[in-house]
Amino acid sequence: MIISRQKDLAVLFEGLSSDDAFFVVGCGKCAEKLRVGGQREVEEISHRLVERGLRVVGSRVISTACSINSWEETVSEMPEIDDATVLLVMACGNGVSMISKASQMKTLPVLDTTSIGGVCHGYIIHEQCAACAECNTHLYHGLCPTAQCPKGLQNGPCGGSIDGTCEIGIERSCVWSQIYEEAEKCGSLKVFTKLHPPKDHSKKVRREGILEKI
Amino acid sequence: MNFRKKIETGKFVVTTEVAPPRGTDTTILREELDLIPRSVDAVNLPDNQRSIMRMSPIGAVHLLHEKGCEVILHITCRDRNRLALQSDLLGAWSIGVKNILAMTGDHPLIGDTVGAKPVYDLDSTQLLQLIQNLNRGRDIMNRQLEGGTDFIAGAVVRPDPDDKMQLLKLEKKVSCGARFIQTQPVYKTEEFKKFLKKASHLKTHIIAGILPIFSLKTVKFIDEKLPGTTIPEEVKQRIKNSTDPANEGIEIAAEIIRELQSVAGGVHIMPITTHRYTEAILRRADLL
Repeated sequence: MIISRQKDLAVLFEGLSSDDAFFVVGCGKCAEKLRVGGQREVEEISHRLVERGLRVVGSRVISTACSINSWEETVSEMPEIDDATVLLVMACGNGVSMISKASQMKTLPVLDTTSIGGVCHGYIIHEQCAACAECNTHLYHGLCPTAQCPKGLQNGPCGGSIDGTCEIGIERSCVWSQIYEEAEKCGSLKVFTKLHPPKDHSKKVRREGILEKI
Repeated sequence: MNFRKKIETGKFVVTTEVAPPRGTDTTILREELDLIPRSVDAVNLPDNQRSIMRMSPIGAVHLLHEKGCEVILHITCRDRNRLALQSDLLGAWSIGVKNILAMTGDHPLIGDTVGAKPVYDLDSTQLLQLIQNLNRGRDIMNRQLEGGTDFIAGAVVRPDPDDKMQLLKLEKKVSCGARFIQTQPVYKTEEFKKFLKKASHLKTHIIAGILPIFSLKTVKFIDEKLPGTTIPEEVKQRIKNSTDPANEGIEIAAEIIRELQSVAGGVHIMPITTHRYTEAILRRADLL
């Protein structure tokens, strides 16, 4: 799941022009689950735009913002999109990029994408994956230090890890403390004694371009 | 005898540190260097310490060399990727730096430039390995260099005898080539001795950090800005109750040093603002 949060709407609205006509797009996947881009949020923002005297020609929560098929389906069902000059997209950055590409319209993001994570019993779990293209989570007892340590440390905690908390704030627990607990449970501290090599960042970039046949 | 020779022969060392300026005016740095006794073995040059932007320590090296100080150059992984780490290390060697303190580096979020991109392409253990490579005349890709380095590398540790993770990390740092270790400030000598016992199997030279307290302002600074450094209540009371807190701070620092002289590999004196009392501390600890 891609974790996003709503931008400061007051700042976003300041940048909008009354000469434009807006169509609001939500996403029925991650953004809906996180309650930042589902039906309720799309309706709410549409209402607020109208309250500010801005013209809203329609809105829709499309099934998957990052699928061009979803967008094409929406366009065929909602001809009023043609009357819009700006799309306000309540989806992750990925959804915004895809809709921008598919629609060829001016597209404004309403959300800020922060990480790849998940949800569990009413909580968002942030920063579970860094999309490093070199998954080694199994080496760390199922916990990813690349994503969950603010420094992405591969070889144990920094000196700022104190009493199980992270250097950047005592509210945040140190992922290395959690790794230690798991390692102790398994009866092997190998993860702390083995030297892990630096990440290979070349794996993240596709020399062959961004299109790949499935 | 230079710093390296002392480390290699297990001699007691005295190191200290000065901060590069937050600008181009080096007057205070030069004045501070004049306050440091000549007998100090080496002077650390921190690298944007606590993530607070200052002049590059590599740029400040010549100022220490001009005063005849041997330098321990801090290199952190926070601001440089592996290319920059290697080129800065080669550059440092070319201007006469022999000693490196390899650190991960405090996160930019706790410093004065919070929007800065944290790099951390390598961590401190990988940086230590990289230095070993350069010392063998090889780069990180194991390609032959046109002339290598011969650094002696060190690392840091918070000397908490009960923090198993920090001890494991220390072991890893030593296995990656940390020949000396400079510790975070020590106030509780018995606890530090316990830490030394736990690290006694490691072939490295452990230098105890001494952060003298000259006023209640220093106490406040440490409490607020240096998490992980705890000043014992008894020390706070001594500073608070003294009619001459600076003198009391000198005495406390000297007591700690005297206590550790027979067990530690050395002391690293790191006053927060000034070296005005460094000589007095060393004198009172019978190190001058």
